[in-house]
Amino acid sequence: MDLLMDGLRLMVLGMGMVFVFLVIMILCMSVMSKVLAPFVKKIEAKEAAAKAAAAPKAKASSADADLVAAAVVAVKQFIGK
Amino acid sequence: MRLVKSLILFALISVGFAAFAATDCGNGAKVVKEEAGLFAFTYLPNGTVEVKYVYDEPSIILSKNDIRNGRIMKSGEEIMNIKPTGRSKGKLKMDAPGKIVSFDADKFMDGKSINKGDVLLIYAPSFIHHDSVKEGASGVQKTIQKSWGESLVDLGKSTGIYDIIRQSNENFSQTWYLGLGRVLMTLVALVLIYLAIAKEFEPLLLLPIGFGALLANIPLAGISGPQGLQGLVFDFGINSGIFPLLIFIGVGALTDFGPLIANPKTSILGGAAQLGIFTALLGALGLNALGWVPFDLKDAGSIGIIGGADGPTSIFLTSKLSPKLLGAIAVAAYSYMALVPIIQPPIMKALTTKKERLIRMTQSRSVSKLEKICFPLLIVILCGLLLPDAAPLIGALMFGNLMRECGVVERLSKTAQNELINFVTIFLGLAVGSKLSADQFLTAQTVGILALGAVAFSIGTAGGVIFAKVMNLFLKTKINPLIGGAGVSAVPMAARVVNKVGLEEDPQNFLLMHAMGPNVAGVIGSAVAAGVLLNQLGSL
Repeated sequence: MDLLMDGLRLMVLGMGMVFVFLVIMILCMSVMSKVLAPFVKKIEAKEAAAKAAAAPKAKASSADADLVAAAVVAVKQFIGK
Repeated sequence: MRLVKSLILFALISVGFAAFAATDCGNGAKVVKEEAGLFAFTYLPNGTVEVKYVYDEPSIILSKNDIRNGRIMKSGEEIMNIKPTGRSKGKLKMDAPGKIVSFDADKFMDGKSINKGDVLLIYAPSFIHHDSVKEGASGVQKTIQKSWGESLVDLGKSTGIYDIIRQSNENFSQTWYLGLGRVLMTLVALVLIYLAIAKEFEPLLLLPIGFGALLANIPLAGISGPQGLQGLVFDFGINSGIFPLLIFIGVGALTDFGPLIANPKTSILGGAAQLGIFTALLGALGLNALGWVPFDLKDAGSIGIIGGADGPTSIFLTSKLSPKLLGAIAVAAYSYMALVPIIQPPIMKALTTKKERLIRMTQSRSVSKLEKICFPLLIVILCGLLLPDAAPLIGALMFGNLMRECGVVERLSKTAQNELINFVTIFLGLAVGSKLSADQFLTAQTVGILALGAVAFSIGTAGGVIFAKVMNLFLKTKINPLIGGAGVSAVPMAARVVNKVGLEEDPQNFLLMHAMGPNVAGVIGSAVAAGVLLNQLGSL
């Protein structure tokens, strides 16, 4: 019987600790999300700016790709002859 | 002043030595000390030490290290495992190093008994030794000094068949598991390998465990003994608790905690599902109270953790609390993890109405990289503050996760996800397999463990689902109670099962990401539960 009581004690302590841990974790996580939100916004703004800056470059690279494609066609025609 | 002190010290030592020498027996030999009533040690006149068995009842030799005349034994080296009548099994180890001078290997084979008055061995204690030989000296060539007949007989005696038959005859009640038991365990090993290959039950673990069991049950080879591959790996990796932690680093690197961060509330379900752990713990104590199967508190804790559905956590806790149950618990934990798709759906369906299963959940927000990086740091600090006993497990998990999320150590993260976890899994399986010996596995305890494991799993699932329903009473935006079933930590299997059950009701209802939240929270939950059990039972 004593063993069973010990088992019950473990159950109460264990489940209690698991819930306390998770509840505190949830609270800390929501605080963390709020604290980090402004930083996240800043980073996202920066990334968006970086993307906007990278966009024209991407266009240039697609122009390059067109040039390459043209060159490939030319070479193929040359070899074909 | 210092001189006087040394003189006094010297005088004291001499007096002590004289008193010691006074215990000389008549023939010049003197009894040094008696150890725990089993053995007496006597200094012989030539400086060697005789180890004599003095316990009234005989002891059976269960296994024996490679002991032969002339061998130098290191301090702490294992000599043999014995089972004295009326006492628990015991390991004999060298305390003082020395060279074996006389040992009758034929008389003290494994399976034979030692009787009162037997001289087990004589050894010469040594302080240092070297292996230098004189230059140009050619050692005397050793020859096999046996007749053809003797050689053939010895060869026959060194076969496995002979040993199995011998062990099944002599002292059968005590050593049956070294003979017949090995045959039975070989069959168990083959069943495990079959399940792994043909049924694909957690093959990554059951295959190494099954093959490990096969190797460990080969007679005479001693692969699972103190000098064998499995014995060494077991000592290094599992006794020390290192392997499960290394696996946790890999698991952390494989786990995306995003769904948990996006919807923290549902992570409480990962706590409710830990109910299975403590129900199985109570169940084990109940079986003990009924007198059916003997389990103590530590055993019960190790069995309960199967309900956490987390293999590495089970092995970690069992190796700390009751290593003798390791084989059965590892097999139970991993087989039930493989059975998640079969055990869980009926329970989840029985506890929910069709209407509840149809609940759709709003898509969760996207989680920024910054939050994902801060999460593991937060959890480790929390764990350190609240429950340091769980810190090894949670620390390893979060270390792996930080490597994954930070994005600057791609190489380390890849290694943790693949090479590290694979490498450790191979050796973990082999080492756990070495514990599948007949005397530890073919017991009523194993049957109890398998039964309790199924109970633990089912109640864990039920606990999560019911808790989700209770939460719905208070929440404005209802959650689908099916995701409670994912609270048992088998990642990502349990979440996939939830998704499948949800899709059966409504082919448009994708619950996978919602179920991943409680699922990964379950890993944290069972690590916390393991920490509490370790904290409460570790020092018993």
